[in-house]
Amino acid sequence: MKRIIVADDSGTARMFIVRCLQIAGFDGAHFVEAKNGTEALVALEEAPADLLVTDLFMPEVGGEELLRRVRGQSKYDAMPVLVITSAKNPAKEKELMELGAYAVISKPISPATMVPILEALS
Amino acid sequence: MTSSDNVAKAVFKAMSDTFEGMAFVQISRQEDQTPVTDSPDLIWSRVDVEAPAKGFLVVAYTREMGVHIVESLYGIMDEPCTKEVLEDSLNEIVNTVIGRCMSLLVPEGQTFELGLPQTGEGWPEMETATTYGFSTMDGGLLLAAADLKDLDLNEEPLVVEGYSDEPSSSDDDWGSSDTQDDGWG
Repeated sequence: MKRIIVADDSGTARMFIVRCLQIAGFDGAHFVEAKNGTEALVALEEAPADLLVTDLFMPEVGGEELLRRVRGQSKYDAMPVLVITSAKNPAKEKELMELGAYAVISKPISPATMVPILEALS
Repeated sequence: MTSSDNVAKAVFKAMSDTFEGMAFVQISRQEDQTPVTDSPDLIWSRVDVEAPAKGFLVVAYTREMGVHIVESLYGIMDEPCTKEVLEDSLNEIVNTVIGRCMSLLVPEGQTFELGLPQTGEGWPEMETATTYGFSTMDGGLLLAAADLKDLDLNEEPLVVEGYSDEPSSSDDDWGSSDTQDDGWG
C-alpha cells in the first residue's frame, strides 16, 4: 500500500487533495494528513512515503521550506514532491522545480488536472 | 478599458474557475447591478493583499449554499456540517479565488503577498469596494467584493472567455469558464 503525506493548513484543502488523488489512481493508498511542514517532516520520520503533496503557503514551515528540507536529505531522493499553490506564478514554479519539485499545480485542482501529472506515479 | 473592467473580469474568471473546479458549481453573473447583500444568513471570508499594492477580496454566500458546497467538496458527510467546516471551506475558496485573481492581474513573475483569511457573518463593513453578484444554476446566491484596482498591473485588457460587458439575463447563458463558447451572449 502506498503511503502519501498531504500537507495543507486547510482541512478542506487536505480532504479535497485526498479525493483528487483517490480519483487519480491512488484510491488504495494510506493518506497521512499534516497541517504544516513541521508535521509533514514528523510524518516522514515516522515512516517513508511514496509521495508528498504540499501546499506552498502554510504557517510555520511552508511548502518551499519543506521541499528544501526534504531535498536536503538523500534518503528522500526517490520521493516525488508535488507542490500545490493558489497563485499561478511561472517564476516561482521554475524556482520550485529547480529545488526538486516533481510538479507544481495551481489551484483550483481537480482530478482532471491531477491525472496526467500523476499517471506515472500511480 | 479601465482597471475596473479588468478587475471585474478577473473576479468573474477566478470565481468561475474556483467554484466549477472545486465544487462543480457553474455560476453566472447576476443581472442586478446592486447585488443583494442583506441576506440574514450570509457568511463571508476576506483576504487582504499586502504587496505589491494594497487590496482585498471578500467572498460570501448563504449558509445553505455553504452546506451545498461543503457536500460537493466532501461528498456524503457522516456528520452535520459544522460552523468550523463551513468557515474552513470558505477560507479555502477565497484563498483560491484571490490567488487566481492575482495571477490574472499582475504580470508573470511578479510576486505578491497575501494575508490570512478573516471570516464573519452577515455582510462585512468595507472601505471602497465593488460588489459582484453571481447565481448558480439552482438559484443560489454568491457574492464577491473587491478593491483590487491598484493591483491591475497588466498593460493590456484582460480577455476572459465567457465574459461580456452585458451580464446575462438568459437561463441558457451559464458561465462555464473554459468550455462554453456561447455563454454570456
